[in-house]
Amino acid sequence: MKPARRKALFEDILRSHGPALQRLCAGYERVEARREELHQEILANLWQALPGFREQASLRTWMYRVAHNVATRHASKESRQPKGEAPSPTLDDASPSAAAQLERGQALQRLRVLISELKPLDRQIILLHLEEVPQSEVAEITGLSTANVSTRVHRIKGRLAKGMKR
Amino acid sequence: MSELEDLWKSQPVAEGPDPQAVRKDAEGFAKKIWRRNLLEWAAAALVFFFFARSAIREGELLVRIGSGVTALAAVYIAWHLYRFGRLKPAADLDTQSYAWAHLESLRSQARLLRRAPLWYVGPLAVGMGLTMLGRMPVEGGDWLVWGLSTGFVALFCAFVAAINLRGGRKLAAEAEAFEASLEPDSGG
Repeated sequence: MKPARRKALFEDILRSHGPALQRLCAGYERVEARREELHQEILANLWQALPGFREQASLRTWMYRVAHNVATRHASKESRQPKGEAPSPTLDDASPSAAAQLERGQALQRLRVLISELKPLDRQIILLHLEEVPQSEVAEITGLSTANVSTRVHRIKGRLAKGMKR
Repeated sequence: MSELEDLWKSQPVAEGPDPQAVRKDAEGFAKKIWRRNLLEWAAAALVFFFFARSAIREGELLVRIGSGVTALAAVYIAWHLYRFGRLKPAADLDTQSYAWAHLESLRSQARLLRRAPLWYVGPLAVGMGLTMLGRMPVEGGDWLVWGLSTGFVALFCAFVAAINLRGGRKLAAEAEAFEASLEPDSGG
């Protein structure tokens, strides 16, 4: 791969999928410092792996494969460390909008915790689903069949909805 | 969009990093790995040439045999590391295949470390032991220096074996925990 093409693809990933990659990290890491570390690790691995991108899959599919694989390796290594807890959002302002914001922050944190507690495969599937990646593409990323992905999405969403109501 | 998707996508994200800085970091890391590998090969070459020279030039037979064994051990260790030490699955495998390949890589690294007393410390210890025996002082020689040197070599070998075994145990525990998180039949 020519250096200019590699550079252009990398910039395309950052531009089009940068926020999705940050959210992916939030699904794997509860502690902000470790989340940032994981983000850097994913970006560095994407840059290193780009010369191997053969354009047989879409750039997004390839990117998600690499990102989830790096995150899986990271989570496996981090399993030796004690699990950290993210600080709970607090209310600084008594206005109704601030209260609604706090409630949303707490719900988001609850969702992150529920996702981080899922088994790796379920976590990958739901994170891709939440990013609105089509199920056929999720199947291509994970190596499962589309039917299996569909069943799992339904089951995981039910589990998350139940967890959010608690 | 469902409520969960909406909530998930609403989370604040930081401003993206500078692509040039990411590229620089990634290349810096790759260079660091390259330098570490080079250092390992240079160390093996140094041990080989030093002991091979002793094996040819020394007068005492036991020292020559010990030095020869140590030189061969350096080559064997370098080969062993090259052959078994660099198993890393391709980063762009589908995530299921990657997970199983990662598990295999963890197991293989754990095995490598736990067997270090056999393929790493053992051959070196045999060679160094024979060399030290060949250098044992004759009547009136300096037993204190010989004893201290031999003790140092023995302690060093024991220390290297212990840290490898400890690393192997940690990796084996990581592999076990990782395997427990995988699903045996998630293929189709």
